[in-house]
Parts: sequence; C-alpha cells; structure tokens
Amino acid sequence: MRSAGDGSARRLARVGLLIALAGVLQVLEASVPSPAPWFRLGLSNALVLVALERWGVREGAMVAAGKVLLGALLTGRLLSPGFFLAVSGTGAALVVMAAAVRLPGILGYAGIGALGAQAHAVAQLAAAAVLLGTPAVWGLLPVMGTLAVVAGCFTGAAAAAVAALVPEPGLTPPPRAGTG
Amino acid sequence: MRRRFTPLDALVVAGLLALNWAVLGRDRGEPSAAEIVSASGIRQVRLGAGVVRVGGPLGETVVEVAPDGVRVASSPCPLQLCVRQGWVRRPGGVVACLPNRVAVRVAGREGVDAVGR
Repeated sequence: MRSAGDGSARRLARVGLLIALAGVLQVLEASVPSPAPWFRLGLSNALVLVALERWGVREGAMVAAGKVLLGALLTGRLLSPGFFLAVSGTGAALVVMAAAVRLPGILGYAGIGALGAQAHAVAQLAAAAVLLGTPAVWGLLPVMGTLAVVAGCFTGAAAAAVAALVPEPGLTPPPRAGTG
Repeated sequence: MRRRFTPLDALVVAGLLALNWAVLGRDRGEPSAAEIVSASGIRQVRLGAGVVRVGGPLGETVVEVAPDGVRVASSPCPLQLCVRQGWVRRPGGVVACLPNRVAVRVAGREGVDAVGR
C-alpha cells in the first residue's frame, strides 16, 4: 500500500494535466470559425467527463473549476457576462454528467456528453435570462440546444478516446519503458 | 469499461432533440413585431420601423427592424457576437447582447404568447 500523500500528489498531477489541456482546447476553439457566433464544440467538457468517469466527482469538479478559471484568464473574460455564463453552464453540465456517470454501464460516453451539453445550454440561457432580466433569450433554445446535443455526442466520443488512455480505477498502470 | 455509444444513448439524443424542437414549435405564425429589451425596459416596435437606438451600460446599441426580421447593426460590446449573429426572422428568434444588456426578439402573431411578457 502506498501512502495517502502519494495518492493526492498523483491526483493533483492528473487533474492539473487535464486542466492545462482544457485551457489549450478553449483557446483553440475560440480561434476556430463556428456555425453561430456563440457556438463552440466544448471539447474541454470532454476532459471533465473523463475525470468524472475515471476518478470521481471530486476530480471532475476540480477539472471543471480549473477549466472555467483558466479559460476565462486565457480568453480575457474573467468576471465578464460570458464568464458567468461559462460558470453556470459548466456547473450544470458537471452535475448532470456526474449523475449520468453513476448509472453503471447503461449510458455510453456519447449519451452522457449529450446530456451534459444540453444542461450546459439550458444553464447558460437561464443565466442570460437573469443577466438581461428577460425570458426572451429562451427563444435561442431550439437552435442552441440542438447544436449542443450534436456537439455533446462528439465531445462524448472524444472523452471515450481520452479515457481509453487512462488506466481503469483500481488497476495498476501497465509497466512501460521510460516515462510518457 | 464504458462503451462509447449504447442504444440508450440514441434514445437520450432523440429525446433531447425532440425537447428542443418542442420549445421551437411554441412560436408560430407570421412575425408581427419586434420586442426590444434594454436597460430602460421593454419596447414593442412594429416590423419595418427601421433603425432603433437603445442605451446600455456600455453605450448605444443600434437595432435594425426590417419588415421581415431584426438584427443588431452595431454594438459597443467587445466580442460583437450580437452583430455577427446577423438577421433573425423566425418568430421567437432572439439576438442578445449580454455585455450591453440588450435583447431583440421577433414576436409572432398567432397564439398566446407567454414568453416575452
């Protein structure tokens, strides 16, 4: 048995790696053209799903929080209206995906990704409705939700690919020559 | 090991898509008016009214109300998402500018309109 200290250092390293990756993905996505100005694929949410599925709610929440903060710093949106939308969206996606991951072996990555993306869109519109003081923004839901569900399937598939590189919880990682 | 895609996923995706489009179906009919929400309240404007200027925390947002749709023609916001969204013609459709607290909605003629009030 390794000590608890070793475990938390490992966790910090894993979570930190995913947060860094999430930051890079957000900057890349911000610079790529999209079908609607407010639409993004949300690949960084795939990393939240990987953390949730492979390690647990705590790690998922850490990746989600780190992702939002780092993304806001890198794209210059800290404390802007867009930042509050990101916090609401990511938070809602985290809660919904954490619940969906608990249903063992029933849902695949694509379904969980779609649920998370839908939650993200709904929470963003709710936050926008509060910020603007009008429910009129809900008119964006059909388009935004539809794009989100499609994007969520893609991010779910991306999460499956990343998760395949991460050892199952409770198993020792396969021995490798050198460090990766 | 969790699968990438299961039959239940297809059901979930279909359900979510149906939900989104059910919301869309609530606004039908011909576009009848534009509803401009800003820091100074809600304004109903007839379609074809032309250029409407509204104020917000960042400055002046210029809304163009054409006979068949609305758009934000210019905005003082940093990202210009509202301007880049272009024309919205569908009843229930919205252009929103969060930084300047402006939303423009196309109201439909038919049915009870519970949204937007």
